[in-house]
Amino acid sequence: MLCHIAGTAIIKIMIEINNVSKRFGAKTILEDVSLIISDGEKISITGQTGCGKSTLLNIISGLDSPDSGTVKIDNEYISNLAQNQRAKIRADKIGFVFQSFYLQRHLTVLENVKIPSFVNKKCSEIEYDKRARLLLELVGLRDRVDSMPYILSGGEMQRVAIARALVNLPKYIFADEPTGNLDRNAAQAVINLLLELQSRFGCTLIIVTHDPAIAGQMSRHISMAEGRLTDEN
Amino acid sequence: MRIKHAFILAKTKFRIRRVRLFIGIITSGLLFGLTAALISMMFNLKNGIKPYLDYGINNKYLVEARNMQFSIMSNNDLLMKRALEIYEQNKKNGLYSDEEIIFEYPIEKYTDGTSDIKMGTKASTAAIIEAAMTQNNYNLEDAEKLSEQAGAKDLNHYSATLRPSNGGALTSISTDGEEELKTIINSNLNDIVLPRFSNPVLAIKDSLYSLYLDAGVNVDDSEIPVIIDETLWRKVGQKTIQFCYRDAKAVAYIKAALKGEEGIVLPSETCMHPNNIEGFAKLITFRVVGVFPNRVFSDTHSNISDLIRSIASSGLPEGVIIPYERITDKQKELVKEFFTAEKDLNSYMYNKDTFIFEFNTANQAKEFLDNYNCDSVICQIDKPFVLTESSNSAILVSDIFDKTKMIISFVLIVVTFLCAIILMTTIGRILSDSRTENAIFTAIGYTKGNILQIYLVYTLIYSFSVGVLTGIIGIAIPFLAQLIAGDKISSVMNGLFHTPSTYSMDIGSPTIFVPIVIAGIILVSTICATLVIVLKANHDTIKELRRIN
Repeated sequence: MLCHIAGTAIIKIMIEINNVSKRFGAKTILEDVSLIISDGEKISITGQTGCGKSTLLNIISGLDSPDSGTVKIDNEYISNLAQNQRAKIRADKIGFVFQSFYLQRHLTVLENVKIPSFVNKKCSEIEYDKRARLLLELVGLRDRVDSMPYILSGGEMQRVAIARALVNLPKYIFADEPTGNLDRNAAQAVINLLLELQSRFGCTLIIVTHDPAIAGQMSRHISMAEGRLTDEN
Repeated sequence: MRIKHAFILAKTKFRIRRVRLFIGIITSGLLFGLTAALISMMFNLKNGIKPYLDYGINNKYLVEARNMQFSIMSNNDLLMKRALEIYEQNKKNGLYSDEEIIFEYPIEKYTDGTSDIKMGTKASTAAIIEAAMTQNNYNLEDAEKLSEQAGAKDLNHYSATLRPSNGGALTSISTDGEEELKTIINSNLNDIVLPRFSNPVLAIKDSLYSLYLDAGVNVDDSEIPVIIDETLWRKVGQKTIQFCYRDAKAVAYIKAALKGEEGIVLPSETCMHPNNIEGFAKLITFRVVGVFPNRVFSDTHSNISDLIRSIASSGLPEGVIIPYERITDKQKELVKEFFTAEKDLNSYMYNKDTFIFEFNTANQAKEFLDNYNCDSVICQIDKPFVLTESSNSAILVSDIFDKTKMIISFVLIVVTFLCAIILMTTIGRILSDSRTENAIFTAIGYTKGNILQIYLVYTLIYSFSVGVLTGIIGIAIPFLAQLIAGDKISSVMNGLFHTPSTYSMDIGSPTIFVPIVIAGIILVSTICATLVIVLKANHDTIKELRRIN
């Protein structure tokens, strides 16, 4: 594994994006993007709508393939892998949080949290059940285990979605506008929760957001415009 | 992914398009259920009918073979006159034996203006054939030319047909009866309304008659053995039919039909005419020795008067069925020879009459019919026999089953096709409605196979529901049919096959076909669903994720 020395600390490079470009038809979405993401980082990606933030996230997660360039996750070139292998990497290593939660309306909160574990055979079913219950406790929904999602508030639903993203204990959490559908208080609560869980589980958090306030709470901030990384601090 | 998990996710799909789903399950279940019920009932019927087919004197598949006696019925005067000339000449030259009766019909004039000469006897038939043959290989075209030469104006009035003697020539009437017959026919001909191409009196054939006597069918001397059609059988509902006749012509007809030989004596018992008409009246009793299905004879007689007319025509000789095992060995040899002769079939044509052939299966009988039957107006030398199905309804029943099988197969295909369409459109809709959900599943690590699994489990639940409904209907309908109409069906069967009331038909038992249909439903549904999913679930995850963000 490549190591990057910063000061005295040895930081593992977990995701390495090299000269990635992507076009949809005549439109260039990503142009020559290179980025290195290390273990345990909290990164925000901001930019105007259509600047390529989500596409970048899709390419990193292997949902989409770059037209040129490479993406390496845990020393493995994900862009070279077959669809099923990429799906397995997503199931094992990546937890997704979406803007609109996308919970299964007709499944209980607990069942919703366990959905990613259905395709992950690392632990037993009992183990996943325990973990799902623990996560729901951590997100403050212990009493809602058997509730149906449609009776929950927006903030509660996003918390269920976060628990769902963590059920396979992923190394990476990709959150695409996780607070886009929430009011300010609920949004902040969700961010606090994400940061707390990131810290507790030691995973890498990448948040795509419009909100500078949220972006400001991350340890690293990347701006994008017209498919390029414009600023990083 | 475990089936249990796929089941949890598949269950959620049943919340989508619920009305369509409900209609799909109910419609498919009903259609398949009715089809399964139909198949079950047919299967039960097919199995249940075997004892009926094996019952009684008609317990075998019989084919009646009738010798082809050529005759020509023609309104081509020129040809017929030529035939008469040949016939007279042959007669003068002593070509016909003395025992052969010469019996000539006069030229009849029909109401449409056409004329006809009918000549009985093998000799006259031979003369007509010879006439036809000697005139430049006579055929229809030649006949028309000849007619034209003779000054006929309208060619359409001239035609000649060479046909088997279905209601054709008289054969070997004994000299004792000849004068009487001639007198009756000649004196009464003008009063008789003749249907075209039928003879007023035909004698029973010697060979058949003797076969019948040898067969030892239990008939009183005072009774006349007959077989009758089903319609009449149901009407009379008994095994003897009595007929009160009152005029000499009827007596003569019947005597001629029965040939007045020893063993059959017409009864002398008098009876009262139903309308109290004065005059000579005698009672005659017919003993029913067989029943033939209506289909076999197109001109069925549905009342006793018709029956009498039938007996006094060519219907009777062909109608008597003799169980094959009762035919003497010598006659069996004769029968064999009749059908296996390779050399000179013509010699057989003019010497043998009607035989009954027995087969163990309907297929054997059918094959025999196919191979030897003369199925056209002009019979070929290698198919010289007029063969008809005989016996009880065995061949008819077998035919019905074959046709029903075809119909059911067709219905099954149509129903399967319809239900497949319903299922495929339902799944297609659900897939369209679940695009976002599938994209999310893909994002969180589900492979295409995992997603396919969810829909396959959905399909299994769907087809299982259809299967349950099919099972219920497929079992309930035959059961109810048996409950409601079982006795009636048994009674009809007993009437049709003349079986005792202890024979019963059960169409209501569940059969193996219900689970087979259900298994078929599940298999076809799975194939159809996979097809739709593979074709339609190839969704663009990225496009969908971009759309929802």
